[in-house]
Amino acid sequence: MKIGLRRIIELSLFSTLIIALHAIESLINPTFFRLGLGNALILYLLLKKDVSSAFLTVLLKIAASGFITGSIVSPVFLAISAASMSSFAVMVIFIKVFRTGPIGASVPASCAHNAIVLISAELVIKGIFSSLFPFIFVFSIFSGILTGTAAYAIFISLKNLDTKQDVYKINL
Amino acid sequence: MRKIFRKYPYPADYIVIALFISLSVFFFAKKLKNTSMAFFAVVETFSGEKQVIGLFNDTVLEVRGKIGITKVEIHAGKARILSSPCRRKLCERRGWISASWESSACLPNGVWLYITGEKTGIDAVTF
Repeated sequence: MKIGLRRIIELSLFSTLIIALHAIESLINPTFFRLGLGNALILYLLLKKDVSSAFLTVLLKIAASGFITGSIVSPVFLAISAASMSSFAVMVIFIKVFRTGPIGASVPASCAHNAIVLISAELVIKGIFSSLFPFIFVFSIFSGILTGTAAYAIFISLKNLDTKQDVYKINL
Repeated sequence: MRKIFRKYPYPADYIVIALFISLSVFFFAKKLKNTSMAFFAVVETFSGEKQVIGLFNDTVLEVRGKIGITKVEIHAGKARILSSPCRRKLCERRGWISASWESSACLPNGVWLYITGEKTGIDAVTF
């Protein structure tokens, strides 16, 4: 896959923003059940750019967040990676197949993410999935709507921004 | 980009949100039907060994106590001491427990079974 300079800069920019949001959320809420506002940028990439750019950004986010939170050498990292990948897959399916907007993709993605985290926790504490899933499901719907709305706000704020021109300015 | 603003939110968005809200109502209704906010059964032994099991994880546990093995059964949101090597079998007669902070104990064998969760209702009634 050929990656041009413009794409590298765009991916770096988006990855940095996502990792920064993730780090801030980790500081505020140390549990696994966060709002996941960084996913708003993934949604933007999926709707405005292409799947491969969004996928690369997700991979960068998983790796970087593992290093930042120190979970990269722990089994928790596997659970978080699986959850992030599954939520990305759900986003792609809902946007590309079912033709939903950011909210319509974000809600099921958030539910999938938290379901995978609970399934991973089930391996350690038996019965936690069936006990907590209804509560986490409601939380996921709210966080999904919030993230989708944030993605919509990004569309509004970036609608007049021509990234191509900005990159040329950087090259000069 | 203009297309997104003209068409947003998509009809599919409304359908997805409605579907997931309906699903959450279904999950909650199912949960409230099955449990009174009791989540886990905890089995503790005299040696300090502690096991936490979800109340909807149907299983039979074998716990080693002071004088032998106590069997604890968990089924459909309830838990009980199924069998114990004690003489008077009071723990077996206690029967099923399902409400938060109800407990059942086999003192001769040093095994204690209790339910955790949100504290609800009355602890006990006496006359």
